[in-house]
Amino acid sequence: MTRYVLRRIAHAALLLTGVSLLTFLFTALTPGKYFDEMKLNPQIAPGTIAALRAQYGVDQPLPARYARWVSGLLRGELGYSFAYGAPVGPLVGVRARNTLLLTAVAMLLAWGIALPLGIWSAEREDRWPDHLLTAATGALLIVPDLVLALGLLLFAVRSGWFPTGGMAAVGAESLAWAARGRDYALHLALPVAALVLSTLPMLVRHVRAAFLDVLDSSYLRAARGHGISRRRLLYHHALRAAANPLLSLAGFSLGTLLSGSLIIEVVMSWPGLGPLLLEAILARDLYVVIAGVLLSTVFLAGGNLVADLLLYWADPRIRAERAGT
Amino acid sequence: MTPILEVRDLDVAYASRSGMLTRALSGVNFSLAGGEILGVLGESGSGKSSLAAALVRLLPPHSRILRGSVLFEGNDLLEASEEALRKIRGARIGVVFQEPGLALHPAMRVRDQVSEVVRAHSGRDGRGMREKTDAALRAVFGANAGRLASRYPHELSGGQRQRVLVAQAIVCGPCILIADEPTASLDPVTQAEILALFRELQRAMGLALVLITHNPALLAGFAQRVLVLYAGGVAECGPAAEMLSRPQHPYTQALLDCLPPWPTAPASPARPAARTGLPVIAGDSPEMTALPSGCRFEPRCPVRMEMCTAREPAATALGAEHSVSCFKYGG
Amino acid sequence: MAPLLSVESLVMRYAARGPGGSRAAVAALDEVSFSVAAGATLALAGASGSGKSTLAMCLACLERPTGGRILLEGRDLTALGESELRAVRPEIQLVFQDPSGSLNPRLTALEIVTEPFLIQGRYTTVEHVERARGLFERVGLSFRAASRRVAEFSGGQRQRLAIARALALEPRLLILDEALSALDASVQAQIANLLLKLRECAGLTCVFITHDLAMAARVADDVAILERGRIVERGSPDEVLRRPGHAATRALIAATPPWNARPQGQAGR
Repeated sequence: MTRYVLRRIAHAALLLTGVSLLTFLFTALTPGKYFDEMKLNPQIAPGTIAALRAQYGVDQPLPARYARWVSGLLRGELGYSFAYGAPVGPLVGVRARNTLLLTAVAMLLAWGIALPLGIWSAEREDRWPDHLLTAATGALLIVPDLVLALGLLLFAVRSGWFPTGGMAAVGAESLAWAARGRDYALHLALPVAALVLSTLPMLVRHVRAAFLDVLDSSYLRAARGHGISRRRLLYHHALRAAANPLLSLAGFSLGTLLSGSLIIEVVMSWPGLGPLLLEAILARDLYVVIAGVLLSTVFLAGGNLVADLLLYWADPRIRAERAGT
Repeated sequence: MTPILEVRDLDVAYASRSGMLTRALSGVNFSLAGGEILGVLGESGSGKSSLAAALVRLLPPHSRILRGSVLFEGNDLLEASEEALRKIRGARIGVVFQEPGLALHPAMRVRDQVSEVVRAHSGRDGRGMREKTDAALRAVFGANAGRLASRYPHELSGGQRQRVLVAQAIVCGPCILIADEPTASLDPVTQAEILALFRELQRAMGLALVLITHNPALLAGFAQRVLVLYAGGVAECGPAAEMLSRPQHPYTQALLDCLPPWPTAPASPARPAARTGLPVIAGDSPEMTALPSGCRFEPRCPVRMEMCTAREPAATALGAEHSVSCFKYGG
Repeated sequence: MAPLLSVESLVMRYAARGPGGSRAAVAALDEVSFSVAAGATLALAGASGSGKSTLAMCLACLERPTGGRILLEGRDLTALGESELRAVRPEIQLVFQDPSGSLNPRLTALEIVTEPFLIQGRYTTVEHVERARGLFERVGLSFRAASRRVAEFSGGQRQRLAIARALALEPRLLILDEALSALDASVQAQIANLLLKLRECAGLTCVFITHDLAMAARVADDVAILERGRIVERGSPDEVLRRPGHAATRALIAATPPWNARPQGQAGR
């Protein structure tokens, strides 16, 4: 078991290294050096610019810069943001926490709805409720995330029930915690709704498919032959058997949620990694971009690792396969 | 002796998407006495699996029970409510389905799978559940029960999986056990072990056993009565010893002739080219969607007569226990 | 006369982890040696786990043995590289136990039988159909069924189809790995007769792997008993079945449900 975990962690580390290298290369190779633009700004002295250039080793060859950055990373420094004039670490940290909050809530809610809905649909296969749900999910699938987000924003503006951006109202810290909680919830509602709506259709369909597969199986029929109740069959036996494809899907859906969240955060002004990354890309703020991408990759790899571990625990056949290797 | 299970005039069909009905069983009649071993002999297309499923009303959704009754403990199982049936399945009538490799949950340990059956019928009394589970596992595995109980199905051999299925079927102490091809995918040594297990359980629990198989050799020396199914209908039914040595229905005769006999006399040193073939039943297994209008065996029957195409023969009694559906004997 | 097939000290070892976590090198085949004369049928019988299927896979060159040699007409198959093997494969064909598993459900019967021609690049397309027709006839299938798919055939017909495909490239050696086990009793008799006929007409050499001793006696010239990867007994069916020497043979015989032919001349016949 430990060998399996270590191997997965090694894979993740490799992935991170590769991603960081690629991102570094892409951003370093884009045209338009940051400092050239700074030179155009009359308020910044040429001396300052030269000092900054030396500090970040901008004139050095790429491998040296990368090595410098990696050694800094291992010391816990994520670099310095040219645009914000501050260390990247704390900057990205806060934003990452916000993105995580959004993604986690959306993930829980999406699965919390998709599971019962998918099971319900699978039980009624080929009858009209199932067809209706399939049509509904199909329609939702076609709508792009952007349109969903904009639509929700419009709803917020028109109805006035929800705030149209940000994570908290101005002066929220001064509220009592109940009111503050309600404030946070209201701000969270629409971005979460957008994310949930964008991933729900795929999840529902996959849950339905996984259950249809299992409901047809010989072991469920045999269990019925032993007099086990339908409810137990569905939520205990079938769920355990369907855990395999669904856990794999969970890992995958985390990835889509993360990428979807970046766009939705920008549209709905949620202070997460999304807007930060966008600004940083436009400003060619190298270290912020790399840190942002790296963090997203960490979330992704971490999520998949957790899904893999859960799968290992849930499906004894995987354990047996692994044991042979 | 009063039968504990009586099947009368059972007619089962499957409906295709277009609504066309294909008969799987027609007019099946038989009874099962307490503690008796009944062998149901049938090949592909005979309807034997439909019979097993129909007895506990576990047929697939597109099937229809057109007619008939299955009387058990004073109730007609075909008319009972789903909840009443659920209480009977596993608790009063145990079923062991085919393909042990597929009939066990892939992600649950053996002990848990047996416990689930207990749980379904006697609630969540923890200790009682454990005791019953352990007793059932001991009954099928003997001394190895402790070691095997915590394994998963994929860690077991075919014979061991079959035993787990049997444990699940008997754990609540039913009075009837229906086994659908329990030894089909097993080698002879394991087959013999499973049959011995059945015999032991029958003796210890007074179980009545319905053993469904396509291999007549299994029933010799094991079953007390044999029922032969062909194309959904009962061809012949009677005491095992008599039927297997002096079968009356042409199908039964032809089927038994097909089996390669054990060499009892020294073989001739003839070259393989001179080796004689086995007697066969001409033609192919019956096509259930296109059955002939008369006797179903008629197209392949070596002793067919004119009247065999006219209508289906009724069952004729040949003695107290033995009945045949063939025009040669009336019908 | 030199034997067609000669197996010398065949060894197959797997590194496997037992269910309890123990690591053991499992010898599925442990110094197996035997030979089969051209045109003869050898039956290999044994309980499950005796190594029968592993042996079938090695003979058909679908797995490489850990040690030993397999000689087909004096040629060492275990020493051949993959491309050389490809040229030899038509000589040895394998028929599996489960016809549904070994036949492609998307292909028609005709496509299944002509697939070997396409893979080996033989004959023109017109010849394919003619040869297929001949093969169908040899195995007793109606050519009208050529356009049907596997799902529309019965178990016995599927096995006939599998045999037809195996015969397509005119093999010297046919290996049948429990090919009859999944079939009904009456159908087994039909396929057994087919095998006897094929041997008679085409002089086919067969290795018939089974756990059904009675059928082995009927179909084969020689019977060898396998136990835990070793051949423990070999002889004519009469010798092995009526005067078994080894405990494994006796166990197998004891486990076989006793069946004797019915006395002929019944009332009602």
